[in-house]
Amino acid sequence: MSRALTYLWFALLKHKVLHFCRDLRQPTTLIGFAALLSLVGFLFHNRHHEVFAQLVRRESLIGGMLVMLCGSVFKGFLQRGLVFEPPDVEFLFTSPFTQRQIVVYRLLPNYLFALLQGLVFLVLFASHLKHPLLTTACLTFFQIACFHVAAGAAIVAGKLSEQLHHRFQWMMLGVYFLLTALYLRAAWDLKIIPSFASSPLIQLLFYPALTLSDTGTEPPFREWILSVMNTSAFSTHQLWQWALYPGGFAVSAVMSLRLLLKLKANIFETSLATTMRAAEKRFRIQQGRPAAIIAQTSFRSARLPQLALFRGVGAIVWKNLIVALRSKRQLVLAFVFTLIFTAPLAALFWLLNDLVAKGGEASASDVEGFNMGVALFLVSLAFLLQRTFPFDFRCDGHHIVGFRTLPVSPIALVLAEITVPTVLCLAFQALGIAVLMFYARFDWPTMLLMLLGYPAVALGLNAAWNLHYLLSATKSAGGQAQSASAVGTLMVVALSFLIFFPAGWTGVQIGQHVEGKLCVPLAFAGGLVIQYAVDLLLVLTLARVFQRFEVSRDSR
Amino acid sequence: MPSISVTKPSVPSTSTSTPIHQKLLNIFVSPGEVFEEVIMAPPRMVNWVAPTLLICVAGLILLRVATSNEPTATAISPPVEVGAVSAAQAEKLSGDSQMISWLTVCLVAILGTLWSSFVLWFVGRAFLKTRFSFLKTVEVVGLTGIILVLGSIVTALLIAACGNSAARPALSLLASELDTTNPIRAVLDVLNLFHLWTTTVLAVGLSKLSGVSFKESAFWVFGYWLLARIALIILA
Repeated sequence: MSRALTYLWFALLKHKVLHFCRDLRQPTTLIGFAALLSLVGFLFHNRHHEVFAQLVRRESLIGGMLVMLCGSVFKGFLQRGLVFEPPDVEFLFTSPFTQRQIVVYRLLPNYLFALLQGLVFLVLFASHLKHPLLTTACLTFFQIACFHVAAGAAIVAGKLSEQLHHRFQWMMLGVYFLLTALYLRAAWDLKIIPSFASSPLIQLLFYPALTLSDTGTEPPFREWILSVMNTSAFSTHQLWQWALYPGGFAVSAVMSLRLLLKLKANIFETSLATTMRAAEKRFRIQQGRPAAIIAQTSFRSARLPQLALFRGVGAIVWKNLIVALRSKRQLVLAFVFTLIFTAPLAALFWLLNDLVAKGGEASASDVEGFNMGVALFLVSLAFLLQRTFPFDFRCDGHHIVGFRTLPVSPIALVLAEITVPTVLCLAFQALGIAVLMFYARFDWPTMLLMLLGYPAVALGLNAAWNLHYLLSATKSAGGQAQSASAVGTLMVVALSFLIFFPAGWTGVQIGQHVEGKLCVPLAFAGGLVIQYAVDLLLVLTLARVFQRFEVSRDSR
Repeated sequence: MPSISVTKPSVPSTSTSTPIHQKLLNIFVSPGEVFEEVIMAPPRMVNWVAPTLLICVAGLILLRVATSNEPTATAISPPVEVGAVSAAQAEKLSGDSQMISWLTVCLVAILGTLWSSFVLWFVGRAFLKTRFSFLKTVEVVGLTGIILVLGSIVTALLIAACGNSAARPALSLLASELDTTNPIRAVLDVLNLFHLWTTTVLAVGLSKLSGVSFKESAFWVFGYWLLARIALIILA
């Protein structure tokens, strides 16, 4: 390791720490840091809880190690070259440093991270470990070895052609799936492969590698329980433990570093390309655009709309609708989200029906209450869906100034912008409801509540996230610091929950003060009225911010 | 940028194409050359229909030998003894059962060929990012089936020699004391000489069809036909 590079790293580290401390003067950074400290404090306060003991069980630790190792290999493989800071690339690659020195320099922050991670682990889990220091040392060395493996994978992957890289990626995913299934079966006795997969019928899928006479017979296969976890190969002797465990992990760290440094590949070209990609990605995230750069695909030009709805400001709705229809990835993701939400609920309904059919007692009010609970639960699907459908201002970042020149009112334009994501959220929620209708019969008050409540929630959420985006874009255009950071996102998530507080509070107050049959309907009605009022306020605020955007742009 | 390799079949004169019986024999010694020829030639149905018919015949022979030691009548003798089924009914039941077994073997041979072709084609398309004709894949899988014919004959001879219908040219032969329901026995059964041979030839076929290296195609073919199969036995 070059002394000059060590000095450089220390100097940069010091600079970063000072910069971070200065940044704490900003409320958003301070809130984020305070939130993190609170989380750590909360974990530290509850560190003697049983959950922590479960986390350091042998099975959990092995699972964690597998995730770390496989994740490191995959992350490095996807990275395809070491990532440096852009100024580092300009300085390091033109300076008289050897490749080894640069690789070790690149690993120094990782070593620091491993040490800090070890410290946090020690503080949180020490009370549940028999040998806390020993385990911490092992974890630190293992993390270091993982960083070496990731760096090695990144360098090797950088040499591969695009097509070969794609193929290897699938191979790794296949191997990981197999490892996951094995681990879950061996460590937790969890079967992710159903038992019928071992039936003779399934064996037919491996034709022509089968014996034809087996097709007429049915040899039943019994379950084979792996007893890997029960084997205890290591001696429990204290001295051996102290020597063997950290020694083994330290050797793995040293060996992996040695192998990494022995790699003959030229890291400069691949690192340059990877650094550029990472910088571009960071820039896109800062701008509020999607991080993934989607490959250019040729689409057929869509026919002009015939409906009057899509004329005037409705053209923006039409444009966003076309974009949404062409974004198959987002639609598939939304479908998966809907499926994840709906499938367990459908299973619950099926279970309820089954229990009732077997003579279980359930009053009509219980069933209604259950249905209402499910309907309310499905509202939360909108939180995921609205992030999946950014077909509004979030998608039109570059055109906002152009939109201001259109001869339409800001409110109309804002409504046009948030129409498509809102409608798509509702459509997928409706899909979920339609699936649930196979297993459950919602009474009309519940249906009415869903009909009126879901749009209020979807509209509010989309308005809140667009407000966040427009505020960031306004600041960005005005030359101020951009706030599309993790802390900003955290705040807008909190805001997206807070906008429902007035409605919820009103509903509860009405429910407490009104008695009789009208209690629940009035509570919901009151909550809905307040929610729509909040939505209206959000839309008006959006329109106001949209107007301000032009001023900020001019003042640039 | 995804690069896609497309197999472009040139059309050689039919006079130079090897007859089907030679192709079937050459599969045992140089499958790569046979597949190269098949891929370059225009699609020919006989390339997969002929071996599939042979598989059906071999399967029927094997089934006959395997069930000769433990006839179906043995399975239905308890009901006859109890009196639940008459002797005539039992005879008819035995005949029907045999017919169903034969039909199953033939159906498995045809559907299995199509299914395996789909698996190979899908692996090529999705994981290896190459495009090749599905019909050519069917021909490759069909020709590979000739190894299954040999395997069936050898298995039939082995069963006849051992007098054990569970005997296989596999590692399980060394652990004949294990019960047939034992999963370890099932795993050892998978490590069948002819299964491994078939899988290797399929890997050669995928390699020729997709234009990727044998190592890469072997990863997927052995991953599916061997590892996934063992994993299913162990994990399911």
